[in-house]
Amino acid sequence: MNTQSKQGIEYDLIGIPLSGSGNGTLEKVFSLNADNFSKKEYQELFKAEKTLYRESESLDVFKVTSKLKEQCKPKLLDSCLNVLAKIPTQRDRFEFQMSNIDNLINSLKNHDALDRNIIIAHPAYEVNCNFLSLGFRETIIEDDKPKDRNFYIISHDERTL
Amino acid sequence: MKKSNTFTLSDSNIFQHKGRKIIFDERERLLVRHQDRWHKDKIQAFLDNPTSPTGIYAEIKQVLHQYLDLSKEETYGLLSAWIIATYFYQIFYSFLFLFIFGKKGCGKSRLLTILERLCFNAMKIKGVSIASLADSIDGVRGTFLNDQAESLSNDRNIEILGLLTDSYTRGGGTRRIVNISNKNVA
Repeated sequence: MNTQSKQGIEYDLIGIPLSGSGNGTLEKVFSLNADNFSKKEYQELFKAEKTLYRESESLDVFKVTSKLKEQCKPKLLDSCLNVLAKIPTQRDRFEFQMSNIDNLINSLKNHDALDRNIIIAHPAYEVNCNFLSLGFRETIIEDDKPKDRNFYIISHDERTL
Repeated sequence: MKKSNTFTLSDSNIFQHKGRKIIFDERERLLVRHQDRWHKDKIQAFLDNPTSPTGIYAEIKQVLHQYLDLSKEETYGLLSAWIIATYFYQIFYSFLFLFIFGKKGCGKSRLLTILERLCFNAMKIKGVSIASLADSIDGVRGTFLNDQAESLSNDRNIEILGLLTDSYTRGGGTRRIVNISNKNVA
C-alpha cells in the first residue's frame, strides 16, 4: 500500500559510508516519515539490511545509539536501533555517520504544525491514504490566445482529508 | 470506492479542504491532454454520477480478442489484468514488465498500440534518450511502451537499460541530477 503520510514530508535518516570509498560518498539507505514511520518500516529496513549485508565491516554504534535514545521519538528510536545494530564498525567513518544523525534529529525538531497541513502532490497522479488525484491538461482561450492549463480530479474522504 | 468519498474537479493547483491544503507541484511538468485519455465532458458525467467500472476485466478481454490473435487463451487474461493494474501501480511495491516478443509481422506493434489506448497515461516510445524518458515519466507517471526494445542491447543504450533494470520497484529507477551553472565561467 502507499505509505505516504498526511504531511507528505520525508526525511533522509542516515547515510552508510560505502565500503572502501573513503571519499565521503554516501549511500541513501532509507528515508522515513516522522509520523508514519511504522507503516514504512519493514520495506525500508529490508532495503537498509540489504545494503548493510553487502558490506562486510562492522561498526561500534554505542555512541549513536545513546544519542538517539536521548533525542528521538520512541517509535522512531526502535526502528533506528534495529538498523544501527547492524551497522558495520569502523572507527574512521564513525564521526561522519554521526553528523548525518544530527541532521536527522534537527529535521525532526523542525517538523512544525504548518508542515502537517500541507501536502505536496504530483500533478499527474497521486495516491495518498486520504485522497487520490488525477491531473489533465486542457487548452483554453485567453485574450484570444490558446493557453494550456491543468485541472485535477480529486477523490477525498469527506471526513479526514 | 467508499461511499464517504467525494469527488471534486479543480482548476487550481491548490486544493484546500478542512484546514488541509494539497499543492500540486506542477513545475514544468506537461500532463496528458484530457482529450487523449478521458474527455472533460465524460469526466463531468462521471463526477455527476460516480459508478464503479463493473465488468471492466471482461470488457478489456473482449477488446483484446477482437483485435489480437494470441496463441494462448490465458495471455488475454494476463494482459487484461496488467492493463487494469497500470491504474493502480502505486499501491504495489513492485510492478512487472511485460516482455512481448515474436517474429516479424506477428502483431507486437499492434498489441503495443492497443496497450497505448488502454493503459494508464500510456505512451509508446522508440529510440528515446534517457533525459527525455526520465522527463516524460516524471511528467505523466504513466505506462511506457518501448517499441523495438531489442535496441536496448546496443551499447549506447546501456544507461537506459540500467535505469529500467532498477525501476520495477518503488523508489528504484532514480538518476542523479547535477545542476550545472555557468556563473564562474570566464
